[in-house]
Amino acid sequence: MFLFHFQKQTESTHKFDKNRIEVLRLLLASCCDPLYSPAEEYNPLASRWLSVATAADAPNAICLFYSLLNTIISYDPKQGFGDTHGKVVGLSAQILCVLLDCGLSGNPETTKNEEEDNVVDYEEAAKPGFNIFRTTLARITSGRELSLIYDGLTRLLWSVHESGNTLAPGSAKGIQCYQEILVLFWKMLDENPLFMNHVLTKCDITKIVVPICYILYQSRKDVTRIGLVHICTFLLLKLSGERSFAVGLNKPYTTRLPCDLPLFTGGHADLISITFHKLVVNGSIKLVPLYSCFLTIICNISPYWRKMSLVGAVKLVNLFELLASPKFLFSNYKAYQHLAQLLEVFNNIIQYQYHDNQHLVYAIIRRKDTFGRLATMSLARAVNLYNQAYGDRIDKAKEETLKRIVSVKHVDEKGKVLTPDDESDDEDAILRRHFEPTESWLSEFKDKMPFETLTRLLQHLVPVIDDVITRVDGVVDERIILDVLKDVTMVGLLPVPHPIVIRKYQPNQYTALWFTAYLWGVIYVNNQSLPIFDGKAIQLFRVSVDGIDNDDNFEVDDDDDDDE
Amino acid sequence: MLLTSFSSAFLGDLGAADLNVESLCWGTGEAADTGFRDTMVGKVIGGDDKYAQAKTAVDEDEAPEPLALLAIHAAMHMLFLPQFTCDFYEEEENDNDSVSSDESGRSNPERSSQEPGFLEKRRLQAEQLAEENGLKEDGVMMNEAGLKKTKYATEGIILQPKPACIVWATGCGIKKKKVSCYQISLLEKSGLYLQ
Repeated sequence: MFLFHFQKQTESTHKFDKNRIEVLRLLLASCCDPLYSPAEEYNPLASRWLSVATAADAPNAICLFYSLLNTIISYDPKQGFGDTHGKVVGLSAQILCVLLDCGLSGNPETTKNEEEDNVVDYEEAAKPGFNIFRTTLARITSGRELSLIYDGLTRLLWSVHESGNTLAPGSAKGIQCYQEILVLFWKMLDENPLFMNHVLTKCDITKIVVPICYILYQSRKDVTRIGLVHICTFLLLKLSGERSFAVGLNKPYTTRLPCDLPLFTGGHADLISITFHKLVVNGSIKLVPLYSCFLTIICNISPYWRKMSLVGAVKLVNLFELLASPKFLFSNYKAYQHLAQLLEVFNNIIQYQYHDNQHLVYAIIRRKDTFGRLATMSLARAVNLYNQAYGDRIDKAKEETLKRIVSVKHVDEKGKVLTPDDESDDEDAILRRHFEPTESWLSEFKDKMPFETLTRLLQHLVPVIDDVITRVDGVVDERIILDVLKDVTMVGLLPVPHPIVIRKYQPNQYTALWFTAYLWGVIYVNNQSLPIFDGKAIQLFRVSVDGIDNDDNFEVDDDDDDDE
Repeated sequence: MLLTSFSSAFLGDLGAADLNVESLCWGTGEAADTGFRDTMVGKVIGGDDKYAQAKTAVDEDEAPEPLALLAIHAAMHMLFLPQFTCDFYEEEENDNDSVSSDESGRSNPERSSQEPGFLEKRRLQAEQLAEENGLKEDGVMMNEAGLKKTKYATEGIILQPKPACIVWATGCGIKKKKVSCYQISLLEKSGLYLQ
């Protein structure tokens, strides 16, 4: 009897899910006009279709908001819901993100009526840009509900690596809609004024850090997943602006991720820094604009970083060496800023967490020459290093230009040199990018590089370590050295501690536009099996198709990704 | 599916610049336009528009809506259509039913007539204490975020789902008693239920 009832209910739910999919697709197709607006002309208030869907008088709007949200956060791929329900979850995430992306932010101030029900007064609801979904999201204030949302979203993101972490491949089901979930997580942080604080103080922050790091690590080489790397970075950047986040990262890392991440014994701050090291060393060239974000995140968490692992310390110093290499340092005028950020990381750790980070101190001592060379950089040496790194290429570029000028093919009847615009642009870019170090560059470099703390540390510790090594006849036992470093006190030797500088994410219209473009890019790609959008008419981003079978490549024009 | 394709075509292929699409989606028909024009004429020439106002007030409910608005509203209605996308629908909800109901939503007259036992009392007390603590913490967090002041409005749009029983799943914003038994059993089975 019970089985019959259950089977009947499952059948009806399956039928409802199929119907929901069709209606949600219809709603998505009806609200897709941002896709056909050029990025530079995009206005979040312009869509009449979305205005109707998010207006105060939209039928069942509140029920729809909670239905979509609860469908997403109550989904657990491991519980064996069918594929159809998975599709409902994906579409729910898409439509919820779309509905939360238009109009203006909701007012989070509590307004109640006589019966103590939460309400929005008519005056506010009549304002242009009012969005009932954004307002409802902003008004979620119960800690229990915020925890429920956080747990639901992180459970879905966690399933991404869990599905690859089983002995029998395919035995654990993951989710396809993790990009939409990341966007939704961003929206939660952005729209609800209590969510960030609640997550940082009442929840386990590592639940979101681990899946983000895994996604970053796995997406680092794939050009089609650059947007995914961007959103993960933005999320970490936003969270890293809070002290509680950095403190929470000291929780020991015990998860085994199904990737070739080096094994280490440390905290989640190590996981972040090792991941970023890999992204710099072995990531796509298109990630270069994100380097400063990576370093800002590490910089923000560094004053609170305790018990850095050996692997984490070595990777961090390796990263410094890489960024100090002539190829990188002279790649453009401001390339030294990355080094300055890393020096700030070292200074923060030395000044505020010296006694818990012997591995880093020892790694710095071992690479003392690298730091010494940079601290004593002269113009002659800078020019010499520059010529070693880029001299050949500049000569070649000049040679090529000369060849083109003398070539008959490129000279018109009147003797005028014909150079296609794009080619001349390339040459200009090469010549402009590789500046030559000058006196003014060197003085700026020396002015911006905070070497004092490191120099004082090395001045005191190098003789101490040399003495230890001499006493043991040159046979180095790292444990003894680490013990010595732990016993040493640097009080009175280092400069007066500098104030902790935290760089917070500042919302701006460019990142807002980037998120809109990214969201619609993801929606477009994930609705290709039965296409509902006209790819040729899309203007919000550039669609590039790689062959017939692989139609999931899209690129978002994200020239303005200056997010700090 | 057909409607989905049409919607996409209206927005993509043809676009808002197409006058026919504009008229089809956002036009409200000749009669309504004329009524609107009459009202405007009254205002523009500086005359008294009381006649036009009277006419608008009468016709407000009958004024034709644009097709696009109707399509969006219809889609939002269809997401909560009994026996199509929802398995349970109840026009009137009784908020007091939990007093005389057990956790599965079925009434138990014998139990309700009796005093709760010692263990039951302790459980209820613990639940109440936890709820009070939760409310206190929420208050502190709202205070920190500068949201402590509550405004009052005589009328407004209620932000609670009504009727809550048509919401697809329990969780955020929804209390247990407001959803169907099937959803509860499914979610309890999967350990996802919000206590």
